[in-house]
Amino acid sequence: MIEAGADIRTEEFLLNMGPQHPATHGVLRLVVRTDGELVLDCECHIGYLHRCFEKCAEGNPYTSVIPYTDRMDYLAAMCNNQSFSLAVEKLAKIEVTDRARWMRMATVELQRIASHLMAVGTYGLDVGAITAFLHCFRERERILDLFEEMSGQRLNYSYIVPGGVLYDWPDDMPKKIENFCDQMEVRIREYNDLLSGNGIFIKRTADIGVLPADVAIAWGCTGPVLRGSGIKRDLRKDRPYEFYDQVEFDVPVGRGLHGTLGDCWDRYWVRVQEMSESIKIIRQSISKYSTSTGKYLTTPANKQLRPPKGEAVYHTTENPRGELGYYVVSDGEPIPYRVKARAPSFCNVAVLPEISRGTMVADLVAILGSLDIVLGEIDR
Amino acid sequence: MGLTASEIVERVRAALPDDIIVATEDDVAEADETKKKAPETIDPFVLAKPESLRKVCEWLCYEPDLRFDLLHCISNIDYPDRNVIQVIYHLDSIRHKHTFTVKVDLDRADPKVESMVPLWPAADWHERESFDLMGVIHTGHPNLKRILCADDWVGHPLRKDYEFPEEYHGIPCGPYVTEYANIPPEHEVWLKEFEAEDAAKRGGPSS
Amino acid sequence: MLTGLLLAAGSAGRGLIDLDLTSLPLVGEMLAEHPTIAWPLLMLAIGCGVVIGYITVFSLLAVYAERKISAFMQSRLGPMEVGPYGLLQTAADGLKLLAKEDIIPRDADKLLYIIGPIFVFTGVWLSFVVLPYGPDLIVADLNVGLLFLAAVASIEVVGVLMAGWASNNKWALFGTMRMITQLVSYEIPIGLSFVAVVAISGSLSMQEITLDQQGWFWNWYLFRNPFLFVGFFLYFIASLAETKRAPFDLPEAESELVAGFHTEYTGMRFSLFFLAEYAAMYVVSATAAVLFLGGWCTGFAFIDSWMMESAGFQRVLANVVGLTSITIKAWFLVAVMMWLRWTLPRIRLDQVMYVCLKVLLPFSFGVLVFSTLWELVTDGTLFGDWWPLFQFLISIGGFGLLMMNFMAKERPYDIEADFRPLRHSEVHAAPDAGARG
Repeated sequence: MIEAGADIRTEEFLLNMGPQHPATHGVLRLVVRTDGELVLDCECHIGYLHRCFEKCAEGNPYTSVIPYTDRMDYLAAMCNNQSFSLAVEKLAKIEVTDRARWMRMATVELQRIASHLMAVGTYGLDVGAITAFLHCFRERERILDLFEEMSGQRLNYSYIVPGGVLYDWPDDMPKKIENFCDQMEVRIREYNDLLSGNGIFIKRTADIGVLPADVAIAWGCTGPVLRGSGIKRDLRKDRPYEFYDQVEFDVPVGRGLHGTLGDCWDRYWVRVQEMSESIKIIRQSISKYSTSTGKYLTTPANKQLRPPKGEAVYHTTENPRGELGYYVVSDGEPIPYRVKARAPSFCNVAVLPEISRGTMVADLVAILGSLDIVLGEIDR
Repeated sequence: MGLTASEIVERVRAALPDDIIVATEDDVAEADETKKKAPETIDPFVLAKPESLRKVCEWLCYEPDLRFDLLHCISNIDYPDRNVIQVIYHLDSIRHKHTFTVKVDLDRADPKVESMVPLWPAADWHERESFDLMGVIHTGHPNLKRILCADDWVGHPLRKDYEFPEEYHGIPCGPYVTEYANIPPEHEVWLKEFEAEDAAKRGGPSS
Repeated sequence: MLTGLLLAAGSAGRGLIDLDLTSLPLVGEMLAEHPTIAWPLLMLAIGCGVVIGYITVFSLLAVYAERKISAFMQSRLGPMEVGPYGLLQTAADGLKLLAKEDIIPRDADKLLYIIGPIFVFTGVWLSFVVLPYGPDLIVADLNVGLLFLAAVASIEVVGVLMAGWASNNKWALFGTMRMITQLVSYEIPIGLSFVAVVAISGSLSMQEITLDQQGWFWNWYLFRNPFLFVGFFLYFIASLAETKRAPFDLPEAESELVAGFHTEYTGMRFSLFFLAEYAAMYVVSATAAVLFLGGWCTGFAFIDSWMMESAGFQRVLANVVGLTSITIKAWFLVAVMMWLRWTLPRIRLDQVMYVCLKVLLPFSFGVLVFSTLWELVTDGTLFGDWWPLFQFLISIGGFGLLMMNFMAKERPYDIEADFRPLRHSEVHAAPDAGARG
């Protein structure tokens, strides 16, 4: 008779998760060292989608860089356009009319909702709830329809350019956005019934992947990941750009409602709440837009921009996934001397090994989903 | 809001006079002729000496009313004409809500600077990226290897004198992949016509 | 369904239509020469064909139903292109699977890799042998029917272990280990639920268990006593795990393990797993129907007594009624399984084991002990003939109280109140971010 544990050899299991794996949201590769179902360590390997955006940007005129920014965080292309446009506007000292600014704010907040819908939906998918995912996609589809009407595109818009936006809105656009907001408020309640309050969902996410505030800051996490850890930091409030200082909205933070502060559920809940805050901003922007005047674009979109020699700006905006920063250096030529992008997902995913040690393989998927990464942005 | 960048520059200059080279635009003008070509920034910054970068950053990180607890980004710029690689640390304080920029000029032939991982773990990936794309050696980094490019990639793509390889393991690559692809000659003619038309439409080729 | 009806007509009409198999040339010869061997073999062949046909047709319909149900729950249309309302979609998918290349990984253990799916399918397929569909519709009314059912269900575990191990794939191995842990554990609560029913019926034969529940629907074991009422739900939850349906679908959790133990399988071998999964759904649902919902009994005393007394052509009709009855019950449970799958998230392995060992197991024991005690005390005739009705009311009432208590229980947090986050000004400064320095 074999004595238990005496002659049985056990060994660690090296699991190669990705780059083709449904849970890695793209082509992230995780090398996971496991002991049965337990994750001992995990290491992220990135770069499978690397196309050196920064090198591409050095060979293109400023306005031609905009389409490249679309492809960074392809789920929030509007926000990327806006961030880069703001940096270039600061560099080349381009004025933007009030009307264009309100248009931008409404589109960017719509994009934030679309991005969070994707995050919430795929998070449900990660923990096995498939229906919530499709319900989220239904609303995201409506936002994409609106964007298609604005810009002619459904994913990579290149809509926000230095000097304003590329095309004027159709006359009935404010009405359509208002209608969408009315529906969205009801839908958020539906998602809460379907997912947020679901007992199994809470069991799977509460107390899992706890990210303490100091760890989050030390690793440079921003956006909902940082706010989920209870820190009230939102660049729209702290360092307002566009007209964010003129609108009323709250910054939701995690409060550890179902477990420890900074767990997966908190990060998820921050995103759900941010959707309703975005609706508030959209409503205010639309009403301000209707009363403001001015051109939608101050400089022709194909005009060659020649910012003064020897200037550099670092501009950060609050993207759905965190703080996106563009460092743009000019040497007086019509093409930028150097463009550096600080991608929020790049910093957020770096913390994954820290918070996934000692969890189970299923939790690893839940934690990764709660960080809400986009590989187009990580690999650039 | 916390302190403005110019106030922080004054604080740094008062506290660490020997560890910084230039702090403001006036300083740039006073400094030697080659430095004049360096792009200044709209925001004030501090240009630290490479050997005392760690000291400056530590001071900025731990000084109670500055507390730059978040390392936002590490950028780097290649200046072949003055033989310098500049590494730029964008710092942010969540507590005091102010930002600051620290720059350091490194020798282009041997760009070495101390790693900031002990101060901010966030520097880990940023420094790996800086090494991968620009070739900056961050000494003391726990795991300094390529992060975005493949492990056996040759060269550092963001250097201005970087030459694209013609192929990587048999895969044609580089800026003009079409040249390597199997394009019939008549298509090439068509492509050139198209490019010429496009350039005419845009009002002459860029640059 | 059609095959089922044919089965009903064929086997029940034995007395009416005298099908003379001996007149067939080759078969007749064999039957004449070796009657003791050839007759059982012939019946076996017919039985096998009928069961395989039934499984295939059921699976086609179930896959179609699953896709349509999920589509309606997710506000989309589902398959619409192939055939009217996409009815032929699953058939087309089946044909596609048949035509696919059969790949065996180079480093796989070929023998185990090939026989794995056969084992899995055989286990489920054998279960159909003892399921009764009508007064005369049962392939083999074994006197140890329930035991046989439990025994053949565990063959699946062996097949899964073979398939997962032989694939030489880490994900497949992961899925296999999860699956085996889950299946072996959940056989205990299922077995205990069986025992609780057998303690009442006094027989292991599926047909006798069904016959014991004849009459009005309050004679069903579901309402036999309040404890068996709970036992039904315990059995249903355990059977979800046994058939690896959500929320217990972690052996093949697609977001974690890609596809679980059948990651490497393609074409026909994969479709064997697929058929087995859907057939298993039907088996556990039909078993639940037999054990707790009266099997092929309709729940109306006058119909049931007619079914038993009828003869000749009426007997055929009675069998059709019985078949319809159990099919409706089983399909209802299958639909509930699908509904759950498209609603609930997946639970984690340790939570699966917790549910089994710390919730289902003690409760199943409780059901067994208390339902036998209840029988002993009330002796089935506490208030004369109307006692079953009283028991029915007690069960329903108890369940209602339980549900009311559950609904009245406060949610862990109030979604509406929480919907309003803290004001910006209300929040204190960010906590000290860094104990260093």
